[in-house]
Amino acid sequence: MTAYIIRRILLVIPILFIVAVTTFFITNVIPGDPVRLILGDFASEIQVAQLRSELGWDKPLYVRFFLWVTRLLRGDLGQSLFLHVPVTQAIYTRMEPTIVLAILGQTIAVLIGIPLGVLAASNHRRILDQIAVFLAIGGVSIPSFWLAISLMLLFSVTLGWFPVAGYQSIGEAGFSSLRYLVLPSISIGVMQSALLARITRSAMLDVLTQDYVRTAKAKGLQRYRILGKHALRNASIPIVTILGSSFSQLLAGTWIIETVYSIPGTGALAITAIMRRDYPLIQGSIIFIALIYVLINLVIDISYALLDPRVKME
Amino acid sequence: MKMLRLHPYLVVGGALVLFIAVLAIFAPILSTYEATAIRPRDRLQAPSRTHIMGTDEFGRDVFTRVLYGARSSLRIGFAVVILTVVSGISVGLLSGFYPGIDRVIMRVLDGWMAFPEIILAVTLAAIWGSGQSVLIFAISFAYFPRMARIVRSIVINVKQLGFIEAARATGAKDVHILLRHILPNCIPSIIVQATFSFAAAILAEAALSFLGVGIQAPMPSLGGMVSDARNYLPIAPWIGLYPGFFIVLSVLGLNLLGDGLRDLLDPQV
Repeated sequence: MTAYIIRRILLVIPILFIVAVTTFFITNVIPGDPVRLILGDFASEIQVAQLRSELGWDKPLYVRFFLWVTRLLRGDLGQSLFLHVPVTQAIYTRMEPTIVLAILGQTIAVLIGIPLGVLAASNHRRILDQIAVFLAIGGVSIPSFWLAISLMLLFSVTLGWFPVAGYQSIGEAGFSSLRYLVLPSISIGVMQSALLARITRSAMLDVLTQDYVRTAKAKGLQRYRILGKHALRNASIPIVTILGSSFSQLLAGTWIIETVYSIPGTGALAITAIMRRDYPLIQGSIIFIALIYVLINLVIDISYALLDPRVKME
Repeated sequence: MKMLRLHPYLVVGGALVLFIAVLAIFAPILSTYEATAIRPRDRLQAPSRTHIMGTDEFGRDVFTRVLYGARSSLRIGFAVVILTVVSGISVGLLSGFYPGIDRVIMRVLDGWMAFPEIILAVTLAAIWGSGQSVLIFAISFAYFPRMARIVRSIVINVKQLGFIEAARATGAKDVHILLRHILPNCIPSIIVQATFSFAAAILAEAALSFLGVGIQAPMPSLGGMVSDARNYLPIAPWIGLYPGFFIVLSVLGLNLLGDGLRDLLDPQV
């Protein structure tokens, strides 16, 4: 057990290395002169040269990479070019709405997706199954930003049930701050609920043909107990696996949804950074999401080993 | 009729895709307006007989812009499909066939998959600068690992089958085995995945244009139109609702088609 967990933790190192390399090259292999792009056409040569040396962009690529990685290992992502604060601090202070939004989105995805998938599988090839599958295909076909705007039009502009946009922190407004997040979390949750429904359905279909389910049926167990206790529990591994990537998809979704609803979270911060070409902040924003993805998957894999003794033998 | 009963998704999805494609291809015939012509006197008109989807804040005909927007969505989506198929096949074949290459490529893709695709696409499109070809490369770059992984997993399965051993025994070279024996077995899954990639590319292009890093104004794009609509939501909701509806129709059509093709071509999944 311990050996498995240690091996799994060590596996994170090469992945994080690739994450760092990818982030660096995405934000450093840039056509044209990035410093000129940041400062605009009217900046003087001296200003350009000054910023270039401030950013370290006068050094060759491999030197920059080495310096960047050594700072990264100390948890230093550099300074934001426009906010003039450390990137880690900029992201940290904007984290609350994003994390709350992603957790609410995930909750919505689970509450819709898993029951829909179970319903479909337990009515395999019947009309309810077909409706559920169609809903799931429909759910992955709706762009979140359009859903967001349509919900805003219906529930905020026309009915006035929710605020149109903005956010108040939980510290300031308590639970009523959730009112700002209801529509945004539905907007990012729907697509994930559809993906989750499909995974749940196929995992349940695999389990429902097993012998022990037939035995349970034969001994006259009630249907919902078979579904809940025997089937869903055994189908849970693929479902939990997908939750890891689903959460990072939700965090990616906040880039768009926070922009639509003017929520001051890390997603809106990332888009602003991209628009202003604030390279250190762009790097920080994408590393933040990748890091959360890697950590969640680590936790999921370790919890499998703790819950299911078969896992570590593979 | 029998086809509809046997493969409902294939037929409905195919019909939707065909419908959007016909509208996009015949845009210059279907509309007499110009997509970018500004007419201040006609601004923000509700849908009527002269402007069936109304007009936007510059008096441009929304229907015309939707048609031309769908046109660029399909063009970009198609180009992305070609690029992801070509790069996905190359990487997938090499990685699945040669274990040495596989170890390196899989490590890289593992790290790569830590970034959600849309994040990569947005960042690359913004950093590489605007323009249609940049958009195509940025989206393909973000989405091709999925195709590569699918091809790789089939190659690994097919590689150990008897007929590959037989081909090798007759003295066939690796290139011959890869292209003549293994690739044909990957084609059905590639077709299915290409359909889903098309849908994903249209969604990605719409999201990028919505965020302002995709197709640039005044050129019409479905995502860009939804973005413009935000300022006029209470007074002129049609500006954003119709283009969004067109995105849903084309993506839904492709997703249904992909599901139908999967049932038809790869029944084992």
